[in-house]
Amino acid sequence: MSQNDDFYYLDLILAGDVSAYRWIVDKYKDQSCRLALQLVKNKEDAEEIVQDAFVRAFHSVHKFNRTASFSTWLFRIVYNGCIDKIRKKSITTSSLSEMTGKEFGSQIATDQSGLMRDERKKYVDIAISALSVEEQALVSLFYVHEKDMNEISNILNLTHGNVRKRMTRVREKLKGTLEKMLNTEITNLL
Amino acid sequence: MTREELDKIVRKSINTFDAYKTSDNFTNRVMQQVYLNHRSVSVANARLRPAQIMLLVFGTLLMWATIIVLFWNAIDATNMLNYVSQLVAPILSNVVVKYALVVILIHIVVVRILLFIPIIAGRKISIKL
Repeated sequence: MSQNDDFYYLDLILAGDVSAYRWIVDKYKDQSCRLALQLVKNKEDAEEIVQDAFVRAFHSVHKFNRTASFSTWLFRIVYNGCIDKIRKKSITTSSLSEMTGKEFGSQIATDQSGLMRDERKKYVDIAISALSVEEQALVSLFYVHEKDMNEISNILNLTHGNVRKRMTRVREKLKGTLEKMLNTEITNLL
Repeated sequence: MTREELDKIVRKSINTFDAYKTSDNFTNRVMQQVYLNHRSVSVANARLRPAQIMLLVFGTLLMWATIIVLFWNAIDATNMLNYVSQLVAPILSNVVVKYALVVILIHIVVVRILLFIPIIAGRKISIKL
């Protein structure tokens, strides 16, 4: 489904067909919740933020100028919602690996390679958790949602150059933390 | 560790929450909220044409002129609309009621004017229904 599909449904909404928004919600709800979940680390909070973001997006749909994709615009609303939530409420930063185990029933690998993979995931989770919320958003948008620098700069409301600088800094931080944790094992894992 | 190696590790190991799915009724909840607020948004986005604005202003002025005349006559309890004045005169003879009515009247007129300013200026007014 292309960006044109989004614009087609947005045109329907602007023409007064509110039910067309259901298509947009269904298309972006999971991606948006994953982004929110990565930042607020709580399923209920993430869904609340995304629900609010969808309602806000609907009310402001006439302001969406279509210079960027709808997902970029929506992600920006979600990101701002997450920042507001984190500011209002000090969220206990439970480890992401802990959540996956409890809430999403990840399989516990029993073989040697599975154990190594789990260890590596745990270390990466810890390294990411040590970053600031903005840096975590940067990591999520770049590595998980595979957004390009222009889209990331739109979502985070930063300049293109600033995103590049921050990305370099994030890589240095991740590298430092991972190297400290994994020490020489890192090369064996590759 | 090179940049490429780091990217490879993070991409492979980052928790993508692929297994995550929103609650079953998530879309319904969003749509419910959207429908609930839709009416207030429609009102807020309403734009009046000049003729409608004139009609509205004229109608409101006429309405308040009538009320004021009736009110004035009622206070004086004289001539013209005797049946109205006779009806309300006993109530209006009470000073507290009289002043309360004047305050309410001023309040309504001021609120009306404040509501008209953004409409005439073509800006949105946010009325929560």
